[in-house]
Amino acid sequence: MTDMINPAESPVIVAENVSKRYIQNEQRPSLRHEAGQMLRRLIGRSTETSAASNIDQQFWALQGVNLSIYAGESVAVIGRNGAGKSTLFRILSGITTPTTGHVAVCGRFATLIALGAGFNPERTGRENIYLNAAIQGFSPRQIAPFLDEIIAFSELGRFIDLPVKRYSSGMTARLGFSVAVHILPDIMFIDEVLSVGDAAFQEKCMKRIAAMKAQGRTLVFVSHSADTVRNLCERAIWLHKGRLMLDGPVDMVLEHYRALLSESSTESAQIEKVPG
Amino acid sequence: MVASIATSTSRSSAVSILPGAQLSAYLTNLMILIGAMLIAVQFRVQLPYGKAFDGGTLSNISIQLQFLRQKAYGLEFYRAQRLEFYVVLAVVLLIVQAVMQMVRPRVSTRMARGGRQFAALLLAVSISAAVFFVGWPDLSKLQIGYFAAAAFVLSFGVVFWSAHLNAVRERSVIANLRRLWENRVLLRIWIQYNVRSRYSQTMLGILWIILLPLSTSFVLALAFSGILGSVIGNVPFVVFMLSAIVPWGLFNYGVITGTRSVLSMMGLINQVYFPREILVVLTLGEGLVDLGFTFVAMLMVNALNGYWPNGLFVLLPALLLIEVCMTAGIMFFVSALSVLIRDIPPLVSVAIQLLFFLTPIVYPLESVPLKYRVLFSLNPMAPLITAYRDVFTGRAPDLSTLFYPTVLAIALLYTGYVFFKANEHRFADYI
Repeated sequence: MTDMINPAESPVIVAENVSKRYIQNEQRPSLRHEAGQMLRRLIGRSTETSAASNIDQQFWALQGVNLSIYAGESVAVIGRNGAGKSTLFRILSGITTPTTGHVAVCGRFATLIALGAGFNPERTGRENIYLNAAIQGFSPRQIAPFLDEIIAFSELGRFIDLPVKRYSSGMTARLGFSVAVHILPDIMFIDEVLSVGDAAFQEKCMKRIAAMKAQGRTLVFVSHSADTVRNLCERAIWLHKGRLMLDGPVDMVLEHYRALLSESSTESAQIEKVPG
Repeated sequence: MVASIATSTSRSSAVSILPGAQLSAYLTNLMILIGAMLIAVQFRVQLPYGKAFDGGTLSNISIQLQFLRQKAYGLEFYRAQRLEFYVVLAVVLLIVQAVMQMVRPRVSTRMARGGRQFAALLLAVSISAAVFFVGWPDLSKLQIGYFAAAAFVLSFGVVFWSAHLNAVRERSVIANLRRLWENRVLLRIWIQYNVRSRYSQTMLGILWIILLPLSTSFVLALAFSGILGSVIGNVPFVVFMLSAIVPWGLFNYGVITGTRSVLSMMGLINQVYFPREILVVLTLGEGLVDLGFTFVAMLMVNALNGYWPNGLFVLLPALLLIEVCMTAGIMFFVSALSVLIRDIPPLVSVAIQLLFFLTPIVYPLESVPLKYRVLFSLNPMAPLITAYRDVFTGRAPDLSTLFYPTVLAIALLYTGYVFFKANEHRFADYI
């Protein structure tokens, strides 16, 4: 499992013309609404027309995004809040499907969107390592050789055999992160979770991710920190209001991104504060 | 996480339908038609040639029953459930689908697909009805009418209520099942941990699982023994009740908890992909573990009353399998619908309460007034629960009554699973 992955010629992640539309009245479905849809379908009017006719009620989180990522690449997705970064991640990891377009991901992947997703609070940390790995598609047999390493990395020590409900939120997040970086997927989706624990732990996380990158694994992550992006990635993708603005070398994309941010008004203040 | 994942939308569906998807559509339609045929058969049993049996002139209930049993499960019943009917349905549907597949236009929208499936079903219903009419002249026209009506209602519900039934079917049922099998380890771990954390907290945890149905049945026994007498036939009321309420418990738990099985995990669904049906199977697994405990408790109480395990217990695995399939099928429907429509969970709990009293649990099937028997014959749980009780109390069950629940269970399981998988991708958007 630890052996190097050869970069292949064909891309491991492909997104073609991916769009995602959310419709507000579909967010809160009811029997009345559903019955109306059913009738409309019966008399031959497509449900598309009824929803799409009301432009106020729809929101395009992504529009016509095209993307190819090759094995061994590490790609940062940058953009303002609400630019569609998380929606793109959700579509790539199969959590939701695009409204139009096509997505293909080849290889075992893990998503680091929320750490400790699916932890059973009544069970011990050790048991939850197995559970969390299994949810991501990795069996106990695959995980067992790394168990000591995972526990050591999480710095939980003797607390590992306590129920997770007694953990602090930091401890839970550390355990979740340790599992995620030790299951060794081919492709890893990381969504703004690098702010785990104290500075020392963050440092360790960065090292670990850099090591995974050195092993030739594909990394795709969202970060607001220009430092992180520049350290870990050679390529960046800039999303703005659901559209892909720029895709290229990280320095070039960051430069353009910052240029636009400084042009726009005070809303960008939080991002401008980030050094780099 | 997975070897590969590919999703496409209805818009990009100009490419030809895969044989696997075509097969799935065929099987779905076939299951709908078989369900309709079964319902028609059940109606036929109770209303021979459209006239309700008038048992009022017979004074003794046992004579009435004997008459009704002969009428109901005799020659006509077997004729109605002969295999030929289902073969006709399968062949007619196959021809209809093949022809429609040949003549259909290349470009299709979501609407056109749902409409086409509906049209295929109606066409198959009409042709099969015509074949029944010509081939079996002794079949009542009323029964053919029931069949057409039931097929219309069922196909309307299944085809139109799931907007995306065929639209986003990029994987066949077999591929989905293979994927589920790959995730069996997750299922095992998950059930193990959930069950353990539910019961290991206190010693009373396990005790409650046993005490709850026991106390319920004692309360019901107190209430109903006043009405029905403390002995039913020659079976003590507690034994009578427990033998029905314990198997009912699995169905009850599965369907009620099934409404929450996906809904309660929406946080996880929004964060990571795994085959969502695991959540349903997980709930069913927990229900089976509960059943194991209550079953042992029931055996002990029954033994105290002189009802020891008997040779008929070999039938239990088969009865359990029918019940599990039926419960799972309904769970797939209610768990997916509960996410899409939040009015479903309260509706389901009302429906289950109603069904509890429409199923012979606290009273024997024989005590049901004859004019209401048509409702009971449509309830697939009634013959199943009665068969369980017969086995536990050492009476040979009437196996011919199990035909209806068995075939309906298979039809429900298949259509439920297809419905669930067709709507699964919408879950994350309905948070």
